[in-house]
Amino acid sequence: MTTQTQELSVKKKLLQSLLRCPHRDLAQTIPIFSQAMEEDPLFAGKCCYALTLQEFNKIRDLGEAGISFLLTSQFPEHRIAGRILFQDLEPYRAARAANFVRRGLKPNRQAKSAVTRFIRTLEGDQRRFDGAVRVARKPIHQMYVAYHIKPSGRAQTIVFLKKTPEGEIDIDKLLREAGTPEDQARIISEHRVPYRKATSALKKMTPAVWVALIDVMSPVEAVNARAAVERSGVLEDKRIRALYEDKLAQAKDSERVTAIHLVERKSARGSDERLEAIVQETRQDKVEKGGRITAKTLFLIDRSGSMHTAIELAKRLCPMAAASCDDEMAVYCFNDTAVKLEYSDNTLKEFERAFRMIKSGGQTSIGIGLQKAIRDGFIPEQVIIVTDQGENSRPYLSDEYLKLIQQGEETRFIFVTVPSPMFGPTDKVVKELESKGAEVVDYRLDTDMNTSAWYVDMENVVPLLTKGGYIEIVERIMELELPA
Amino acid sequence: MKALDLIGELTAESQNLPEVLAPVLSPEGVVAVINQHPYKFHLELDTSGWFVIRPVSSEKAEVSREAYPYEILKYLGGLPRLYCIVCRRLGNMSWLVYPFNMGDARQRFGHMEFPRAMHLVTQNIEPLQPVETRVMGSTLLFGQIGNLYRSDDNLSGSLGGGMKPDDIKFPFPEIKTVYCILYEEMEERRKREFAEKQKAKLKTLEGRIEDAVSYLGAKLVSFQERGEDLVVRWRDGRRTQQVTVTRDLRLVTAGVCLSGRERQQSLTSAVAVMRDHERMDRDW
Repeated sequence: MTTQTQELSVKKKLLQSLLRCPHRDLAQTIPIFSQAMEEDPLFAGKCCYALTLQEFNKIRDLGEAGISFLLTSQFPEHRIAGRILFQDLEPYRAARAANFVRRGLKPNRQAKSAVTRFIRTLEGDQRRFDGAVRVARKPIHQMYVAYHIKPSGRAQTIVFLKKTPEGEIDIDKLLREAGTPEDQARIISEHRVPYRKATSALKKMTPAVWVALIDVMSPVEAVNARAAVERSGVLEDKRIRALYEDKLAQAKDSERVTAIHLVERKSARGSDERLEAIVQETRQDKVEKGGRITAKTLFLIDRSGSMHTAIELAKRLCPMAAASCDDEMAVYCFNDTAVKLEYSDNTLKEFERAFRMIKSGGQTSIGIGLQKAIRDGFIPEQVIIVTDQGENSRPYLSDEYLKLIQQGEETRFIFVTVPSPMFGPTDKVVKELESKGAEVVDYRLDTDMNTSAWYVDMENVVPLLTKGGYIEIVERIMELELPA
Repeated sequence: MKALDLIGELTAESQNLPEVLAPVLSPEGVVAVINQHPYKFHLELDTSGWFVIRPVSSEKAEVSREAYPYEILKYLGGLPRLYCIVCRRLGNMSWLVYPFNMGDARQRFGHMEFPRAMHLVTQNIEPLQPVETRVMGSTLLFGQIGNLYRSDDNLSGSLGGGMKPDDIKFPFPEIKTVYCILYEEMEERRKREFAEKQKAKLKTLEGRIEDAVSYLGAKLVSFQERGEDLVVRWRDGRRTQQVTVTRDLRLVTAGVCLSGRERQQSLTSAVAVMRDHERMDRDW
């Protein structure tokens, strides 16, 4: 293997890691990031920085991993950038990153001083400190212990002795001892008790309590609580409805709410039409902000035998890609024949309707999809293919590509490869296309759709699709300046 | 409007809540909608039914009186209707029901699992009967006996006669599901009762003798104590046989030559031995 291809493979692996949410188990990221830091520290450092940017990555766990690797890098530029980025983290995320550095990586003086500085800044802001301890006492406690940081007197009382400093109000006690739910509601709203904390201390849910909860919810919590709010029936009251709708509309400006999150999370789903309109508007806004596809794009969806996963994935990907696409876009489903998918708008509902009669079955000929599109007069600049690459029927994609070249047209292929239930992971088609000189990108999405939070893995697929090929993404990452 | 002001308003409203009709399924948590707000009250009551309750606070309420039928009808009229088929009784006023049209139920009430309990049944109903229920959140309330189809006496008779579901032609699939549920429950109950009966039978000497004799299809005629042993008589086909056994039903003598192997035989095997003996005798 040549040095150039080796280098590319490390970069590919790093980019591939964007499509896998570690779900708190940051240790999963160690092998690939350690290798990248050794083989190509310049790119790896910038890639770690890119992980903290919404433009490239929407999975928070990966952002924490990126900062952790920067903090423990052997290069001072990385460590400085890591320190700066670490200070900007929310306390619970800082605690996660610090604990990952301590347990999974080799903590150095820079890491310790970054954590100490973070803790001192946090201790200095009494309100922020109290809020952080309320929702993440244990991780913050671990930070003090793991890095041998001496707590301030107030922190010692709150974090270690689990008491309220003298002269201050013990809100937990107040909540516990409140006589009626209405009293609890007043305390929650007055003292801005975090939603997660408040829900664990409630005696009974009354309309007043719901008002207090909606008041203290963050926009992302408002999105996540939609099913519960609808079920409670409090939306029948116009005043409470207005309050909740306001809160839900704030999700548009929240970085933590993502387009996929809005529609996939079970607790964020509901049937209220007005709320659905707000959610769809937010989703549209998120998709539009998430980057644009500027090329004429052809989506090819594998509907051959046991490709149910590809169809389900396409149902989610297509509406987002369609909303982000400035040029023409067409969707074709193929097995041993190809059929054009007709849709009237870019909503998830419309694509669900369009995919309703698309079922998996038959052999796989990716080439037939491209052939049919060209026959229909659609010559794409890029082709996005959701498949397992198990091509076993003519016409083959590589042959169709050669025909396209002979016509004087050039196109780029982006594969979203799902695992084949029968043959496991394969890159047969990608290799064939590469051997014919085509520009190919292969993103592997080996997520298990039966797990509850599988959709998180999809968060970064569309942002990557909007950035074109590997070369473009690598160039964009290389253009980034590390914070100094 | 600020949240704190709204909390104040709602608190003030909750102090003067009017009397309201509520379906009481459990006195621990009675849900009532007052001024478009759902409230959950605790009641001092030991029965379920339809009551008009008087809220004392946003948490507690007192029973004012029992509800009138027209009030109940008016209340139920505001809730979505779901036709169901009755499965079986669950409790005092609760029955298990299954939707009359499962596809419709899934579409309209996808969040609910079926079969599920129907509460506050105030009329006499029977399994396989159609009923009209009303859906309150995730709770099914009894409305009235339905008239979607004729409560099929043949099916009730078939069930009583233990007819297998595969042998019956059902008018629609949902009623087959209900029939299958009831049939399986009936089969299980029958097996359980048989096992219990058998267990009780084996506790008595007569039961044990009858069980041993009937194992190979013979019928016990009588048994007599003779000293330490027992003389057992049974009818096997046309003939009556007699053997002497110990109290633990080991063979003492069969009246035919067993070459000194009597002690190796039990009362059950003695039935087979005597049957063989009779056949050999006849063939000879």
